[in-house]
Amino acid sequence: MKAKYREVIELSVPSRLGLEQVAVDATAALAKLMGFSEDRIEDLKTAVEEACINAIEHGNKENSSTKVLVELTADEGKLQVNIHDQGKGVPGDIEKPDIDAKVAGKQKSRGWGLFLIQSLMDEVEFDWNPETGGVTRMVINLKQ
Amino acid sequence: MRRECKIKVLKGTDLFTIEVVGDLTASAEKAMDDAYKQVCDNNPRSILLKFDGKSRINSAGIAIVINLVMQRQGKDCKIYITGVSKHFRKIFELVGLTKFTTIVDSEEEIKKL
Repeated sequence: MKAKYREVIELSVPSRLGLEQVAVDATAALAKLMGFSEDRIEDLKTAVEEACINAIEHGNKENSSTKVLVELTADEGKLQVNIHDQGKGVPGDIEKPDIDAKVAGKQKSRGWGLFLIQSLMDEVEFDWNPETGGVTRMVINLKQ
Repeated sequence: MRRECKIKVLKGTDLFTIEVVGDLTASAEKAMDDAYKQVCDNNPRSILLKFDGKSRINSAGIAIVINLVMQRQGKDCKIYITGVSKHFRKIFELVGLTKFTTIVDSEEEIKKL
């Protein structure tokens, strides 16, 4: 699929850990159709997995009656992924993960999700709206 | 889809191996903690975390690897990792795990180090 046209795909995923893989596989399939390289698809899979896990665990507190909405927009030369939860969004004071601090026990060993998303994607934005919940917006460009 | 994680400990003399088949995620934490205990009780000089080449490792999986590094800090124990894809090698480098572990292409490579 050459992305001459803007295509939008939406998935609604119940907030249950493990089901984020549905979003990961769908995103990877679309990226492959768009012509992304295997390396970039791997980056995308990790970023989408982490954003969905954050939405399920921290946004929706694993409440299975809530949903994670995944919007995939294939546009000319880029893929945008928006992941919405129904929770309170990303707190502003998240500690930047530091491997030395973690190994020394000064930080919890977990907490790499946002770091990985920001490291692997070309554009990332976190937002929260009290009425609609949190959203992670990320863009990956076909040609860097 | 995600692959279930199966863990096995192989005891050697100097080198203990923790074999990980499947994906390393939060659901493997308890089993990995048990494996770490089995291994660390023997105070080994080196530990190999052996993935199956197709394992996916998410941020919770990275934390599980960090837990092993934490437990062996200051105990004169080398930690090797093998069987990770190019992508997860990059991830380990990004988070800084390669400061505390050595990624090798194969178990045989350890003998040459």
